[in-house]
Amino acid sequence: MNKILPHCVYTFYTWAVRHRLSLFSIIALLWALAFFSFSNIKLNNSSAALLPDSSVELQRMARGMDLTPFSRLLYVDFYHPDGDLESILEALDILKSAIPSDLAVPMSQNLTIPPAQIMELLPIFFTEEAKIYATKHTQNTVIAQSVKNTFNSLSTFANNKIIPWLRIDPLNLKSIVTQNLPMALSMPTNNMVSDYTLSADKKHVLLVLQPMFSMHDTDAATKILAHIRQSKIQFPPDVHINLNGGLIHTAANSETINADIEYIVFLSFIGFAFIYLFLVRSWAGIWLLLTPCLAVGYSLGIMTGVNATLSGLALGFGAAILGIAEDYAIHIHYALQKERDTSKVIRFLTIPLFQGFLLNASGFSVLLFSSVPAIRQLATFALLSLFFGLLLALFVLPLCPRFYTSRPAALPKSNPGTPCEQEPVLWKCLLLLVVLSVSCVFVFSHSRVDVSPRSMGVELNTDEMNMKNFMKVWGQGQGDFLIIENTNVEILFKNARKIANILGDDKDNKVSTFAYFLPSQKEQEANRARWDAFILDNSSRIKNDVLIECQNLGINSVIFEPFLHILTTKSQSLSFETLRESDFAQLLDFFVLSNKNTENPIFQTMLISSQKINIAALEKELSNEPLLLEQISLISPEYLESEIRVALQAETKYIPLTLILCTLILYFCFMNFSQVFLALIPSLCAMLCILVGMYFLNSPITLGAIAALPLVLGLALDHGVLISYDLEHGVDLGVRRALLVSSLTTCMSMGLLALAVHPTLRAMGQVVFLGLVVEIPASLYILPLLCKKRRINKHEVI
Amino acid sequence: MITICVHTPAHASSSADLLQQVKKHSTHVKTMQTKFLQEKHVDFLDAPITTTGHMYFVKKENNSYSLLWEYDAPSASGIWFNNDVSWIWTQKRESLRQSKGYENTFVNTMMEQIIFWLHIDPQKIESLYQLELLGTHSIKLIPKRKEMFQSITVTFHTDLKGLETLVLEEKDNSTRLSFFETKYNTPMLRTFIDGTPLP
Repeated sequence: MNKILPHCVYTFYTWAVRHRLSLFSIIALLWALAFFSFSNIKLNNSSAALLPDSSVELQRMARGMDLTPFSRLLYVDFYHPDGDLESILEALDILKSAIPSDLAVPMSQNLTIPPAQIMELLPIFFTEEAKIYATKHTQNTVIAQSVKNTFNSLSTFANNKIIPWLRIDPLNLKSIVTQNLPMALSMPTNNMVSDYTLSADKKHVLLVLQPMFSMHDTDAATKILAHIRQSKIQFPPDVHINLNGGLIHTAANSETINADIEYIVFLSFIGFAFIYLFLVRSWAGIWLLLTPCLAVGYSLGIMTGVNATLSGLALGFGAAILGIAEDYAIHIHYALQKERDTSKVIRFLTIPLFQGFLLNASGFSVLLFSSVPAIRQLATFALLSLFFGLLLALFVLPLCPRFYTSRPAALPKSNPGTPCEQEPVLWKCLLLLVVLSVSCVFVFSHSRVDVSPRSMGVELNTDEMNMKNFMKVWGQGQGDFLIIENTNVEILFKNARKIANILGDDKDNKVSTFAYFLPSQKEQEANRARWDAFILDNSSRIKNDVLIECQNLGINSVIFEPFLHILTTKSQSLSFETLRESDFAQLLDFFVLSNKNTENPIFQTMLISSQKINIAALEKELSNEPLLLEQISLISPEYLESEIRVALQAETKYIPLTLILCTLILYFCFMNFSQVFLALIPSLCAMLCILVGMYFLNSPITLGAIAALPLVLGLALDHGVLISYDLEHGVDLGVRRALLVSSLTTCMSMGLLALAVHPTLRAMGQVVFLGLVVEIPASLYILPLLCKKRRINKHEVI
Repeated sequence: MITICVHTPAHASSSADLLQQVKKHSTHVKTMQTKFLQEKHVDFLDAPITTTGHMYFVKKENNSYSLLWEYDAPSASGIWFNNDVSWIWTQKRESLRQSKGYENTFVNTMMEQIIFWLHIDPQKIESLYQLELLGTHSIKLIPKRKEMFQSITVTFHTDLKGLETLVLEEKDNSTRLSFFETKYNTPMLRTFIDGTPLP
């Protein structure tokens, strides 16, 4: 490899010198194609991309999270310190009219289903228990009293919403149906004001908006937030709002990131200007910027062409790899600055740069086996970026103006050689390596690791977005959700009923499910037959008793006509489809979810538990039904976090695998243990500094921090290889300066993110900054201390 | 003649003017007791459902209210509204219980309406309703916002101290309340004023 590679590069170089314009045209054409491809990029913002696809349960949870209306809704809490409801309602109207209906629509919080529709379902739910209840409520004396009470209510405090109920249900039979509803939504509640929910202290009113977009849609979130803020200007005095919901988290994150990026880009620009002014000092520095941009553009073009959708997070973190792609260009740039003879640069730098690439590529290749789709995409993106970065640096950069020479010299057969060649001292390298490794393990064991999804987003604690205050007013949900899925709705509901019954054994636990509202066809038939028999035996008597009581009270029996009509109506069966077309559709959509875009939709239904669900106990209860267990997933932040932790734990097997692979490649490159150890030292120094720094900064190691690690470790490995090469061969081709510039530019771009407010950006920045702040002196000053001088053999062949 | 001139309120030229006059004359009303006739018109019956009863109202020192609304015929029942909490009873007062669910919706709205008119605030009324003067003592109010009642028609006593009739129009029904034998600032016999349980 040591002989063939430089020859290949040199051969291509000599060909390219003659066809420079054609080569640049091809590069420009490819860029145009890549641009065309990535301009049609479709981002996959679903939670599923971030969870292992090997875990059926996590994928089911992700589907549930993306589909469940709870995650999509946007809550606006209106508050007036004196409880001036008129001002609140005026503000509410202003806000409602300010948001275009194609962005979000207000949701009805007072779902009222016509009483007739509910009472028509009596036969469907006429179980043996219901029959006993109905028999009790249709005794002569009970009918007389009920009719009297109903008339009393009707003549006194019944309003428009109550009158239809009193007319159709004087005997209080509706509970036979409504007890099967997940919530008592069929009756108006007392804590409403103009169809909006009023808080217990009567100072807050809740508006629920249903956005037309996914909760991850940054554009929609930003637009909705802008409209809300614009409308606030017109609010009456002293009306405040507090926003909550998935989309608000997205908007808050996007807003914080934008604010962070604004000043960080400014600081980065100043930093870059200083670096280029004092360290690069050449207009050819423009190629340093173009090379990684082209590399990332090509990668993005290919990724967009190959994948239907790309994970936004993968792309965001993958862009961090720009720093490594830039590293290759910087080394070639400085070597060409120092040595005008391109052939010498190719001879000396091809091998270490390729080895650095091989090391980074091996690390990212391992990630291709990850079970998390977003990580696999990140790995592909990084591999492509590194590959194109290396190709462009080796093959194209020397042909750019300022470095280009029309008559390249012959490729030297040996390294140029200087009298300062050094070789690493094995015991020193090994000792330091052991000390660093043990220290890393020790500090890591004391570090705080938080891989929960919530560590990735900003905390909502402003006046306008305050999660804690919102929970204080509208109640903290103490319960959990269960998502059950199946391709068949009837089986799905049967399973849901079974689980709800198990959970409902705990008397304190209130389980809300829609499953009870659609009994199986067999149950329906039995219930209807029971109802028909009951009506056949009792309808004349009941009717007669009602009419007699009306006469006794001197009232017109027309009042109870709707009820008398029910006693003569023939029962009808109920199906999922008929429910969809009825007024129950909104309720159905809330509890039964399905991805309508697919050919074979999977139906999911939600079980809302008022108490925490003990999933272990449930699993034990259903241990003889493994198939059913596979269809259940618990959606609770704690459980999700613990599952993600387990999934990430499974991913940690790739860490030793990467280390082993990198060490093997290093050994393959150097065929010398002391040099392998020497090359590893900057990475370990960086790792230790990151761990110690994060510990003292009291920052947990989050997913953001973990995502930035490959950049720092990759750069440190690159630099370890290059410096050990430089020390071994004593060729002064600007490696040290290149290392300094490469690390500083990465620090100025990614490292400055440590100043960000957004936790993910901050964590990434802290890792990059802490890692590079130690990696630079470790590579430049510690590595030479671990070597001893040796005489050079001028004819030694690389 | 002088007495008549002093005690007869001037005719209102506008609804705002009428409200101001009612406010002026009702300011000193601390207690009120009256009989009422309630007629409920519903779309499915030709004749209204008629109920009668009596009402006791007290404006307490801490600016809160106590209101007892009792039906006598055709059957006995009652509503007691005290410190923003509604209690109801049917047949016997012993069965007094806090109102719940759908009962609250109407009870609270109705009680708030009555208190609204007994302790009048013209500015608030004008902010909530579009006003239309129907006569010298009568005014029609159409809510600016969609609420339970589509319109409310109020007729004040000629002394402008309190209500004579109140018509609450809903979509398919309306309730007409007529008050008579009204007495102001007379001692209240009921213990409900102090918030103690009803006798």
